[in-house]
Amino acid sequence: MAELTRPSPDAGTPGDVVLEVRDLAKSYPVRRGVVLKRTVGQVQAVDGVNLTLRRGRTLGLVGESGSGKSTLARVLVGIERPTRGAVLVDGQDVSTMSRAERKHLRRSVQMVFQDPYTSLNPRMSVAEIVGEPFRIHPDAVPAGGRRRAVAELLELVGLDPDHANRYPHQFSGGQRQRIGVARALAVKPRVLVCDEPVSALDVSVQGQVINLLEDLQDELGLSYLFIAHDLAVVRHIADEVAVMYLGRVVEQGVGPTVYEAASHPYTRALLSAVPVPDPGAAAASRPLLLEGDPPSPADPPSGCRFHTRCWLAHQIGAARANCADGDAGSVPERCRTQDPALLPPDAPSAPARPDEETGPAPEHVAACHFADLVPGGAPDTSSRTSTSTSTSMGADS
Amino acid sequence: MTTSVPVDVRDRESEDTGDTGPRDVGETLLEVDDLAVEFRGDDGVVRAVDGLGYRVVAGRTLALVGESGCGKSVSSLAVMGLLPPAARVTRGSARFRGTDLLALPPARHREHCGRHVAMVFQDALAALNPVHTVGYQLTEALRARTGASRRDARRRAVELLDLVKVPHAAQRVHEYPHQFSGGMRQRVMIASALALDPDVLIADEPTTALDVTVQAQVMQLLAEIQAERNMGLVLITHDLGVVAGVADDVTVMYAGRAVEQAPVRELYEAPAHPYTRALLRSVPRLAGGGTDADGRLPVVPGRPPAPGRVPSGCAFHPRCDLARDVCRTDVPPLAEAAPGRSSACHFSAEVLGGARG
Amino acid sequence: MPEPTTPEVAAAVDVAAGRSLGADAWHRLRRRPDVIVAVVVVAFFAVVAAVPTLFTSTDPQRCVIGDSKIHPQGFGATHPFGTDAHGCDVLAQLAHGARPSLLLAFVVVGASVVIGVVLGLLAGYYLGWVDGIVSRVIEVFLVIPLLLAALLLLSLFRNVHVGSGTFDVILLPAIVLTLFAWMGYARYVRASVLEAKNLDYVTAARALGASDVRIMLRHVLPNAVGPVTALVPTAIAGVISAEAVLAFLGIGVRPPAVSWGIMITRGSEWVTGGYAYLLLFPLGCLVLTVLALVVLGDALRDALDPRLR
Repeated sequence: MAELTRPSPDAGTPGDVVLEVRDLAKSYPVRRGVVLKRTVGQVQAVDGVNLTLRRGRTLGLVGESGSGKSTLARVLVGIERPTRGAVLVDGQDVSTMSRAERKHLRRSVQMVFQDPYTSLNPRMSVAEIVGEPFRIHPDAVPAGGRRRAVAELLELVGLDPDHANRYPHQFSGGQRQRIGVARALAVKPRVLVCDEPVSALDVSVQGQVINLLEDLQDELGLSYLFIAHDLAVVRHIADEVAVMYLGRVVEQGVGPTVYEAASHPYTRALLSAVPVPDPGAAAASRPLLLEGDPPSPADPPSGCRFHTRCWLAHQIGAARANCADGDAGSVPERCRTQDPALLPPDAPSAPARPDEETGPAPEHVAACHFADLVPGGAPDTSSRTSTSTSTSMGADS
Repeated sequence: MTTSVPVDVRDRESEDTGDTGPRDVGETLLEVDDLAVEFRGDDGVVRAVDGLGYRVVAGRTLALVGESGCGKSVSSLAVMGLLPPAARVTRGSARFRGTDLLALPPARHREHCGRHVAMVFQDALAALNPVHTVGYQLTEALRARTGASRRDARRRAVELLDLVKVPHAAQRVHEYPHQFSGGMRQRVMIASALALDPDVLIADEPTTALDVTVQAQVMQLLAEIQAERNMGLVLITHDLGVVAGVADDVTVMYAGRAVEQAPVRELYEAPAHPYTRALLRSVPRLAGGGTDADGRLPVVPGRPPAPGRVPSGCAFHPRCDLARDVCRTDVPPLAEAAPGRSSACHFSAEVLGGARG
Repeated sequence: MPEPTTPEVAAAVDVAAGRSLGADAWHRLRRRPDVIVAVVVVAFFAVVAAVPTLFTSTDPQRCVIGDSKIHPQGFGATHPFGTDAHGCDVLAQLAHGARPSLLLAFVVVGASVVIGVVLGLLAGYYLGWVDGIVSRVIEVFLVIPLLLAALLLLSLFRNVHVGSGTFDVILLPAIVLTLFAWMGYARYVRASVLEAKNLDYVTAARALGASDVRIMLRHVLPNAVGPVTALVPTAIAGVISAEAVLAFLGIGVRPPAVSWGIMITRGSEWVTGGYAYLLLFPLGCLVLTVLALVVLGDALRDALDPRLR
């Protein structure tokens, strides 16, 4: 039944779903003890994530370290097994496949790594690194054509094929990242999972790698899951953006909607942290909406996971304390106890979760009880003031 | 933070031994002049820094900006006396309140730096010893130099952690580096650099390894501490976007030389060197429109020259969109491009005019 | 500013662009005089071990008690390096002792490196129960004193007849010493594997679907054996001296064969009495060999590391 002949990358039409993630969860046991290891808890690295990646499109995945975005990447390329949920490649559930089928399917989802210095084996020449996939999958390219295939791959990523005998340390960070891309492309994947592919590079060359990825997308019809901690980097390349916090997607939507009408306080906070290269506008007076570090995923906060750091919840709490008899500085009880669902931000809290709905997926969803209170407009021009928030909040309560 | 051009205060320079004194706003604390550093390797001598000069003024922040390998880190290691054995300073001076640090014997150099010039490194995890508590490491220098008692040292450690806004400082001094997140570790590093109340703090890519959110917090912290203590701060970075909000002056480096020096607003408004202009364009922007005509991200094309393979003439000419014949042959000197700012480009007037027009 | 479409010029290093790793390694070795000296020393002792009769015509077994404790007489005389307390010719013993000593050292170190690397690699890579077993076995072997185990084995093998061929004379000490020499390598390799297996290039190979064997041999091991190569030269010295200890228990190199280890132990008794040469000759041979191997090992490691090209 297995169709082992992989369709060429040109098969299918743009917009087809190539990769789907359904209610994916990955947890790691926390063990104590030296001889008798007891499991004392679970780290929920990824907890119920739904994503859809279409052919020729780029989905940006944004979050701080510890948000589970790298774990998700590892599950997608098959290095880790999910504890719950399913990964579907071309509509086929990876977990129900045989070993051989899985190995074959792995070829369609490949990965580009963050650190160009640790992601290439220092003892292998560029030709060996880029040619290794052919040794692992001998059927990918006939033995005689491998040298040429390597040369073509190097040319494709903008490197001189004559440098194939060199070693990674002889290249700059940006060039090494190109080598990493060439290696991933060797098995003709349809999806590239790019895990922070430019965050270790000088700003001056980050654009080179992003431009290359875009060219390759146009040329080969690739789909990207582009992971980053910086919304500014994602802005240019991604068609759709998903924001992750402590293992969950808290906001998701088509590019501009997330940037221009971010509806989750966390997304807002991320946006406020992006450096603005303008001394006038940037000045240190710019409000920073995020304090401290994310809580441990081993013990996530109850209710909305973001409530411990949420500026909006604190504002609402403070405003309520002013006009009512609540304790000052506390966050609304709803945030502490109820887990918000991913809903279109303008819709009033509807009971149904979006994945249970029958209609087409909404263009923009956010998981916040008070999403309608997040002030609109781009963050640097926003009229975000405590008075406006408290008045609109007052209307709500 | 003032925006005026630094006042040139040179009267302290005479025979000041550089001992601690109150820092006056605008006082020149550290003056690096014509610094050159060479590395000796298998393939001969490589010049990593070549004629760099800058001035660190009390109460102001200087950003030292450039790509990997441009010599920005090496130059500050030279100032600190921390160069690896293969490297040596061949020329130039680094005067701290009149005392040329580079002319001091190594032991006195380090002692002097220990008291007056502190440094924060990029990799906070590597810079902290995993087997000692954070509190112990924070006060190691303090105890060694001032012979403070254990109790005083501990109290000081808590103060320092409070200063860098580590929550629950009193408990956390007893924890070990691995129990801290990346951002918190960087705060600890800053705290330990502040332990002896330095006059100048050099931060080498302090936020490069951190998330944007934490990066913004750390930058804000550095700016606050600098303003509070009227310190001189040197921020070394490859990202012009990160320092826009905190720097007062900027020195852009390329291939071991300073190619542009200017106050921050002027530089961002109208760069006078094509390299600065390209670097500025390459900063990723949130607001749309950060792309060029054909929808691509602007980049500095090519890559920086490897030290020892610096092109003839202007080192930037192979990557420059303005390069003409003269750029291939003549090294442009760092000259005044406009009042208060200088640029090392044959066509700086043109670049400046183009940016303004 | 469009990005150049032509491939970037990698100008960093043009050295040996087309040369193979092996050829380049040889090229680098040649440029270091200390390496050449080391090669000469090792080659010299190899020849001595292979053909001892080239260097002495005296039979090391022919000991004349009347000629005992003759000081070195210089080349050309009957006893160039003098004689020991039993009247045996020192040069003859040195030359004939080289083979069992060096052979034993290489066999023991070779076997223990193989055992240690394989077990360390498996333990570090798979962890879990594999690691549990390997680690406990390592601990057990580290705890048992070498001499106690040697005595046990001695009683086991007391009645086993071994021949007097080249390998037969070193068989017992080789078994005993190997049994107690592999743990260090296993621990070192395990630790470096733990570090190496989480590197991104290992993950990359895994994402490509590479088999465990391929990942271990191609990616993990080459970057994990570094510390092991540094241990080998000193381990060789350790084996040669440990053999002397075993010799006292009767499970060292079997008489009538002689070894450097035995010579060192015997010679050390005479150092103070004006017969220091009895110690200095065998010790000098041992130190020279080990130093040469240290230099060679270092050079080999550098030459095979592409980062240092």
